[in-house]
Amino acid sequence: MNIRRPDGWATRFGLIMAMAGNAIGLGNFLRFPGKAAQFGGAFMVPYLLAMVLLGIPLMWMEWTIGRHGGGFGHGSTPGMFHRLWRHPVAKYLGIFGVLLPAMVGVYYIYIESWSLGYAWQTMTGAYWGQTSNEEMEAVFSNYLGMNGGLFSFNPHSYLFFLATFAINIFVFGRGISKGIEIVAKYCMPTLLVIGIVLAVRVLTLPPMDGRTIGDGLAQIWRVSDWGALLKSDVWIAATGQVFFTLSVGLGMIHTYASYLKKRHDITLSGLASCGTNEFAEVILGGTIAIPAAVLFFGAAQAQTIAKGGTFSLGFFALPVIFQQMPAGQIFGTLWFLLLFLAGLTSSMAMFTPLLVFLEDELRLTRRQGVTLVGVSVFLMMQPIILFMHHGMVDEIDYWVGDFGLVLFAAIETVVFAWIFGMARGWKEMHLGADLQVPRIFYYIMKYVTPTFMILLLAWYAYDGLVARVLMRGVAAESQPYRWLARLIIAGMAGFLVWGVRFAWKTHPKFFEEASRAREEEEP
Amino acid sequence: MTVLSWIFMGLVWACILALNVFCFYQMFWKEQDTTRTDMKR
Repeated sequence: MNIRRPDGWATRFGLIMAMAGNAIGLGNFLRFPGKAAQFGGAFMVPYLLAMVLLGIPLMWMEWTIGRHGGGFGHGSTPGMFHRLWRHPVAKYLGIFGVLLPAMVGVYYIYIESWSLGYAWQTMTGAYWGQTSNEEMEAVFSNYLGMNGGLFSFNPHSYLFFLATFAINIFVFGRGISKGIEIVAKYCMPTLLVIGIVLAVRVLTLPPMDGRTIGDGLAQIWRVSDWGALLKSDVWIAATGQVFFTLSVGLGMIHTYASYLKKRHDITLSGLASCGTNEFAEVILGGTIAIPAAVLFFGAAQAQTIAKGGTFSLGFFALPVIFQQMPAGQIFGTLWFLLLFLAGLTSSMAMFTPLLVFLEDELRLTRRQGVTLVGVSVFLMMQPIILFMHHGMVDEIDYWVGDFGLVLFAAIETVVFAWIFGMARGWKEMHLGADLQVPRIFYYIMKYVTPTFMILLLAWYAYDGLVARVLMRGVAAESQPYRWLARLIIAGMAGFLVWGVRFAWKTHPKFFEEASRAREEEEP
Repeated sequence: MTVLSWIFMGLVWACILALNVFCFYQMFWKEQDTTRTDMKR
């Protein structure tokens, strides 16, 4: 059975750019350099190993699952899992591939809007004169409206949120070829050019107080303590970064790949999108933020900044640096535009699995689907924005963007490699392939990746899951808001469980399938 | 940066650039058949 779906990719270049854009996000330019600097060079060894053993195999699996499911008319993982594993539970396991990206999108768009707001503030010089990290931290808190009141609200930042939200809904509402592909085809090359301009600018900065740009690069590339490789935290951090950077374990790659036809290559295209992502992350991301921070502040302070979290590097430290740099206003604006474009090309993919689920399985029209997704997501975002100071973003991020991601990736590797079967999976992956994947990856995908994933999931469960569930360390006044965050996730999950039950009872494609199965059983 | 660090960085950068050149060359230059690049056909 091969069901034709109305939308699809118009060009292969557009597909690669959209897939790479899905992967290239804020994490490439903020999270990666922060993590790499935090572990002082030892990070890159497990990172590269996890990329080969986990990231690339998982990416090929997701492309394969997506194209396979798309052939049956499924653009989201509940239907795709149903086609991989004829067990009643399979379609419910697939719900994670719709729930996780949608819930990540709920807070990701807000964070993305900060980049747009800061691009504007940098261009107009709004925070010029705030020349220390502490002052920029105060600017940031003020921008988010976190001033000790009941709500975190600033009309200025809310305006940029509304603009970012509208852009996202407009783009993904136009579908694959007329929306996502067009934006990816123009935004991705622009993003890469901006990244190269910024990287060249940083690499050509003159020495400061005896520090050179080489000292900055050493923060990422010089392994000063090989003993750090024996510690589990560097391996967990590196593996987590591989997940984040490739956007695997979320369900978005599946949906994009579902628009491919059987004769369309996935091995070479998948590897190309991965290569583009690594160019943006390791070469561009590793050259801009940390080397500049080391040059201006010194290695010790740069490491402290990196440990301070993702935003301390991008939103506190770099604006201070831009103010001290010739033509800093231009380079600062380019930096935040780079972050915004990286965010946009990722976020426009996040609600696509949900929209496609509504269209394919619940048979809503595009207009109905976009309206339902737009209104419900907008409503879910409001408490997250208004009560941000109570850690609602952190709570959702842990359950869907951290633990949930590892859980879903572990499930899909087991379903694909052990239940669907690696022999069938390998054959399916190579249909129409432009690249014969080396045979060693067959064994990596069959044994190493699923085992690695199960061990990683066990580690996540052991390390901090109970503390998270019991909200240890969370202030008593913030706990009701954290519960509200959990309620929002549970509400969305409940709707999806209902949706799957409803679709499997009412959609003709499942009726016909059940009838055929009955006819085959009855002589 | 020590010499070893420069070599490590250079090797990783070279591998990533080579991977990109290989993939895009295979897709858009080596393959002359336009049906490969136009997904609608």
